[in-house]
Amino acid sequence: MKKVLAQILVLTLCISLFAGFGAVSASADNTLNLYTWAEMFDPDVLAEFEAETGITINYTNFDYDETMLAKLESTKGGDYDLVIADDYIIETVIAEGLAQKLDLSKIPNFGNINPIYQGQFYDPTDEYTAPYGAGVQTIVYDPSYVETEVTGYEDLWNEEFEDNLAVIANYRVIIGMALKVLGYSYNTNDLDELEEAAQLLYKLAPNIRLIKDDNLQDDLISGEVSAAVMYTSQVTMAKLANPELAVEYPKEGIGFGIMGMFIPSAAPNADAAHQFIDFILRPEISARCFEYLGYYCTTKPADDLINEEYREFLVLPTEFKAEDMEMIGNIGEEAAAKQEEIWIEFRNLCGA
Amino acid sequence: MSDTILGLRDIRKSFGDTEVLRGISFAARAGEFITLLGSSGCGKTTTLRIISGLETCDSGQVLLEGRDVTDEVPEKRDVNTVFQSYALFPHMTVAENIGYGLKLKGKKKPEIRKAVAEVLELVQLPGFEERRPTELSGGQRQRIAIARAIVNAPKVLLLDEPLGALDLQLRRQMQIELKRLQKQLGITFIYITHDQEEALNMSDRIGVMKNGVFQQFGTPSEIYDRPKNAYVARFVGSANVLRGRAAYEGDTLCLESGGVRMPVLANAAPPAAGEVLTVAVRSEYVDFASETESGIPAVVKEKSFAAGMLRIALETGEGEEVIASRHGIDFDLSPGEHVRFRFRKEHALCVEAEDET
Amino acid sequence: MKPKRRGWENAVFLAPLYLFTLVFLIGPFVYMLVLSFMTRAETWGVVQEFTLRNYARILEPLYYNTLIESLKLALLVTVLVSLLGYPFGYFMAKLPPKRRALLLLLVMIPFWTSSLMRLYGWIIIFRANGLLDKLLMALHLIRKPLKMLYTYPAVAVGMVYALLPFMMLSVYSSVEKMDWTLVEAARDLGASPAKAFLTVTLKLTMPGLMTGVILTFVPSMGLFFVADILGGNKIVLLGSVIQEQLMKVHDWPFAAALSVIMMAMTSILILLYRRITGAKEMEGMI
Repeated sequence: MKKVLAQILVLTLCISLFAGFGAVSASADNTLNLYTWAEMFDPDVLAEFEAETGITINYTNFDYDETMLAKLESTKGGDYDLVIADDYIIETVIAEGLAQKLDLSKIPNFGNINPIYQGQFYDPTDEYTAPYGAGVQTIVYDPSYVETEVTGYEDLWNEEFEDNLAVIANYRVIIGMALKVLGYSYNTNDLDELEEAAQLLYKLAPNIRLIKDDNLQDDLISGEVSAAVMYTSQVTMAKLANPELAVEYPKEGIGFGIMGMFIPSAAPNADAAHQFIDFILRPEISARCFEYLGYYCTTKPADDLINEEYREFLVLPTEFKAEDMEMIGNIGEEAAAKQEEIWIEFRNLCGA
Repeated sequence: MSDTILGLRDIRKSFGDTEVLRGISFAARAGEFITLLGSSGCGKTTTLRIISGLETCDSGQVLLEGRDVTDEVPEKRDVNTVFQSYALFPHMTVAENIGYGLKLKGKKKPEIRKAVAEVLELVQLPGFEERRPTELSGGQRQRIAIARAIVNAPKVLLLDEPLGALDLQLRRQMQIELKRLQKQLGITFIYITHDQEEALNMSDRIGVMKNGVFQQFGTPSEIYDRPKNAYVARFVGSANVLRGRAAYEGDTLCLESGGVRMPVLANAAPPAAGEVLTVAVRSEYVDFASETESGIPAVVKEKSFAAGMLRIALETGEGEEVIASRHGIDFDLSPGEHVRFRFRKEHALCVEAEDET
Repeated sequence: MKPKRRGWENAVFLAPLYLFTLVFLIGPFVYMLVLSFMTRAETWGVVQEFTLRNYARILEPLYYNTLIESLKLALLVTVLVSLLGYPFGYFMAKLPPKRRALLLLLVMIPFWTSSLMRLYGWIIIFRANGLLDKLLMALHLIRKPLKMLYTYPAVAVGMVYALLPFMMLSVYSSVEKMDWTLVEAARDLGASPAKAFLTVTLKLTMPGLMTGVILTFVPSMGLFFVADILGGNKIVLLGSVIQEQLMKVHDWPFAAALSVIMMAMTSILILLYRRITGAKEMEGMI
């Protein structure tokens, strides 16, 4: 009796293992397979889309862009209808032919996109993507603790910030700070320029109190540090928690990254994907999305609809032009290896 | 006493609510072999541990060569113990085990090596230096344990039932060995056992313990021939203890039991007539027969053969059991038969009634 | 006929075990070893070209120092855990049964919670104006926040905390089996309590200590998430580098080579330790 029971148990366990695989390949009968990070959308917005169109949204997540790429490669551009990922990975996706061109006739609201975010390195002709939010590098600090007038990255090297600065763990952004101070491009492949930036960056080490990707805003809010360079969504949360915090656009130049929506080449329900993109590009919907997401609004007409409270850090000041901004894109293998090594050395210095 | 090497004065010890030692006192002379004899739980091991310092007493004194060492830690006392389980260090060789105490005293390696070799000769295990305790037999381990203790030339050697784990043959052999060794070295031995035969064979003096007090402390012949009370009489030499009333035939004290009066040997404090009288008679001195007029009436209960003697159990009219022993393998009286038993006056000793507390 | 049948039966019973070991233990290791000699492809995956470049890179000061730093931290943590864990396990084994059971339970309860959660607990304690600061300020020992968080000591504390129970339990297991009359014999022969401990107890509980050391040292080489969370990503351990090489840089062969080196270092150190202490067996746990 016990033996039979055990056998049934093992059999059940085995079956349930495989049951999990079935969930992903959903049928094409009006489902939208949405694939992106978690908590990218206000659930109310998604519910509204479902109610209006009758399409069911199947929302699955990934943690890293690389995971998404690996998945798409293995499914050869199939299984998912709409993917939202970082700019640099989309460059590779398009290059590998895993994304399909957008049928603009199905996206009447395409014109709402803020042109400053178009024509970028990863999709120069804007044939494959529509932006969903942008992250702009800013410096956030608590004026009640900081005396220095902070206008750019350069000021962060100031002795006042010793053991008082927090940065995200994104090495392109952090090494980029040094590059910008020296007037170089984020995407330089020149190893000498990188070495120069490295030497400058190492001098910043004593000021670094911590390096962290998740919830960095907590440390600014709690007073663990008095200044930080963070992801845009974190800036949003920090400002909402403490409106007194100051947000500065660095004078050396703005770096930014865009999250793009694209449709995989073999998407089962491309129609639904187009409908969704169009829905998101509606000004009222856009505004709500970016208030929820905390990233810069990429839909021009929505700028004015965004709540006053949020506008300071979700809408680019109108004085900024495209020439002031540079995207962080893919670089050559040698430069990438060099940057990785700089990052290790830098952290070692921070921990010493 | 100038040659008293170890003295215990009124040692008392309780564990929680239980009083284990209730006033233990004795003095041991240099070179004496003293045995503490008693059944388990009487406090003999505790006494030993208090002498070695592994246990502290609640009150009383321990004197070593006249010096009060009651509060001294065990490692400072010039006393060594041979443990019941031998307690040989499993992670050391025989030589390291034996040399342990000497090394702690700071002796140099060559000196230690020599001493170890000498003592191994003494316990008749020469050349065993590099062996490990796990490789040795029970008897060998025991001898190493003794060697480890005596190599330190202690003033007093404590032995806690060292022969308990050995078989009969080996035990007899070791008894002789130990006695010889003791005489040769001249160390004072305080020996613990529950085997009265062992005690009688080896000791200069024996202390019979029960419930934390000495029932009697004396030489083997004193203990055996003139036991002070019923317990000692029974414990040593398994004497019978007969109870009855005192009666006098002229000047002679008699035991009145079963309507018969048997003359007995009076002790220093003879009871008055009619008082309760306790008499000890060793089983080998009990004589009985079926067709006889003299003696206390009894019924044969059972016969058994043990330790080379025939043992007959009789039951008196009052329900008391009396053991008679004699040579031979059987005799012709069977259980249920009526007999009368008697004994000679000089073999019937008056003893104090057993202390029930 | 009987011996033959027995062999066949044994094979059937042992086969799953062999298969398991092969697939889950030996297999991955061989795969990793082979991978470490290959070259990385441009963006993703490997090219089957034999190279020693990966191992050569490890000798570069940057990576070499990371290895040394990881070893240093692992050694520090192991020493601290031994110093704290041994006495604890020792005294725990000498307690009366009821209190012993209670203490054992208290040691095991943290295992029922996620280790990540417990680490965040330390953040709450260490952060500026967190519990530690509040306590010390209330006692007037400090006036400004200590800024303990995101420092090397914080990482050390986190690792010691995470690994301590393993040492405590191994030592406990060993001490519990001690024959205490041996200590009495040592005292009887002239050893002070300290001497008796060093020559008898410590030597005989060495297996427990050794198990504890291994259970501490090996994981501490790889507990990089503790360093990341409590050290603010400033303490770069070998584990962090391996993770980054795999996830961000996609240099699988290099990551494999680093892993192989890490395994080799750990094995060498353990062998050395066994040699020095002469401990041959390991103590089982509970």
